[in-house]
Amino acid sequence: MPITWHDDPVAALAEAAASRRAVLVEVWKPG
Amino acid sequence: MVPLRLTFGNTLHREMLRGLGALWTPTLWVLDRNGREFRRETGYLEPSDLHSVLSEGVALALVSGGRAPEAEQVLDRAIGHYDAVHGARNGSWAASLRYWRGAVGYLRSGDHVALDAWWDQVRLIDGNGPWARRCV
Repeated sequence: MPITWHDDPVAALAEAAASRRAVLVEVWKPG
Repeated sequence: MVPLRLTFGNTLHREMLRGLGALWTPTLWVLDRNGREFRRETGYLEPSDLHSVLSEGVALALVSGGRAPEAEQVLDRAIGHYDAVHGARNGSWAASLRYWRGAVGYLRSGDHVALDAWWDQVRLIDGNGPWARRCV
C-alpha cells in the first residue's frame, strides 16, 4: 500500500496527537 | 504512524528541519505524538532494517507514554519478523531489538532475571560488539 506523506508539519503533529500515534519524519532533497 | 516528509528548501519546513538538526539525506526520525525524538537513522535501509528501526522508535515512544505492554508487543513482533528474514538471530538489528526488548520489559516489571535473559541473547548474537558491551 503506498504511503500518503504529509507535507505540513503542524497538521502531521496534530493528527499524531489526536490519534495517539508516533510520527515518522523523512527528510527529502529534491533533484 | 503518521508519515511526514520534509524537503530541504521548503520554507515551511525550515524551522522543523533546524529543530531536528537535519544534515543529510536520507535521514528518518521517529517522534512521539508530542514531537519528541525517540529514534534517528541516516542512510539507506533495507526493508527489514527499516522495520527494525521504526519498531524501536515506536516502542520507545510508547514506553515514554506509559504504554510499555504495547511497546513489548511491538518489539516482539519486530524480533520475530527480523529473525524470519535473516535466519537464526543474525545481524546487528537482532541485537539492538533484543537490547531494547530487555530494557522495555525491565521498565515495566523491574524483573532483573528477565532483563538478563534478553541481554544474554544480545551477548550471544553480538559477541564483543557494541550492543553486547552495553549489557552491563
